[in-house]
Amino acid sequence: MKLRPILLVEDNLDEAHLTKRALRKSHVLNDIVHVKDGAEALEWLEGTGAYADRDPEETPQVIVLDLKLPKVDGLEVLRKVRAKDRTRLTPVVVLTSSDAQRDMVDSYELGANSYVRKPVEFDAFAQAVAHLGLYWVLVNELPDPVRS
Amino acid sequence: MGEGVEETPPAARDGAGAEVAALRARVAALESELAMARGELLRLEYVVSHDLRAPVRVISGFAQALLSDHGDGLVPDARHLAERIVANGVRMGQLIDGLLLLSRVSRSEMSVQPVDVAEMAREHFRRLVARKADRKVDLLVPETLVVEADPQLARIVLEQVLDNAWKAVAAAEGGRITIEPAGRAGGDGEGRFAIRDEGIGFDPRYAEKLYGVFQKLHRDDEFPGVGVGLAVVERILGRHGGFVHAESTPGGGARFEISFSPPEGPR
Repeated sequence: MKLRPILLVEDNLDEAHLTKRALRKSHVLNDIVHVKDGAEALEWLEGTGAYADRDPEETPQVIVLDLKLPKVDGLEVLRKVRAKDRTRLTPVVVLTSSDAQRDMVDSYELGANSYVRKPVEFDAFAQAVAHLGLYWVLVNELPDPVRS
Repeated sequence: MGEGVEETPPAARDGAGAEVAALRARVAALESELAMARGELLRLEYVVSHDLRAPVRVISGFAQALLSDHGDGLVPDARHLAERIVANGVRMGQLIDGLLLLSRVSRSEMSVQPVDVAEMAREHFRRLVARKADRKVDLLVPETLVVEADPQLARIVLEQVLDNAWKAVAAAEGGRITIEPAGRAGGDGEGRFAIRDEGIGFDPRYAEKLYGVFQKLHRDDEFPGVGVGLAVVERILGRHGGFVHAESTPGGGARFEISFSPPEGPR
């Protein structure tokens, strides 16, 4: 069985590097696709623009989504993901520095499956990401992709 | 608020009336200036603490990665340097979290209602004990102790003062923490309590420094922490119209009186 990729949407390259590293340490074998803003995330998911040769039916195992993103912000990405039949059941984990109640409520209302605030201490951060990988990639099960 | 102002002198005294109007306008202008300055300050606190988080995490993260992936290849001095980067990243993180907590307790909405601080104290104490089971510390607290306060903010006050008492007692190698009502007998001081510990205490000459942000009266090895707890406590009590008052002698424990309502007038 082919493993579905993890889609990591994160504009800070250093944070993306550390997140990928922490995911790898949690023994996640899936490909980790890193996109740098909300617009690129949508292109990847829909197989348009720079990702025109990608099969959009191949949905990710989980989308790890930062909220504060250039161009299209995280909440907008979430809204679009939920509006599309293909991805409306795809797990979305919001991973953000924001601890504003508003962001948390908005995320859940738009259908986020989980909200994780990045701890400022790196050890705690690495642990949170490892848990996240373990659960959403290795424990959680998804229905077969819906062919539309 | 302005009960005293209602009794304006008769309209005949035009001069005085104009003066009052001018003063009122001046007060209103100052009030709006103050509100703007406060708002500005809170926004700054929030943005600073927010946007500082990412680079701090990244700095200590890469230093940590260097140690765990290439630690064997590093000579002892290089290892030590990387460890200092990690340790200071952790400290910076704690400072930022302290600032964020301070900003949050200043901005949060309040809904004042009866809360049982005795129950909150027991809950938090259990957490402290679970973290450091080897410590011999006793908590004495009444069955219930009800104050009128915002529940979330009251919980933060209890956590901060208990954390402090715990650290003070731990530094003195054991002892007791007591929480008791502190209202004057028969007085209107209900909703006031005191927390006493048999810990290392502090020098009362520097008592006012206790409430400064990131101000500490002890070295880090005597009393760990970044020095934000009592600033948080003071700010929360201030928002309730209450106060905190501390007494201590070095080595002789400390007593913090906590009130969610204004001080009683002299009788």
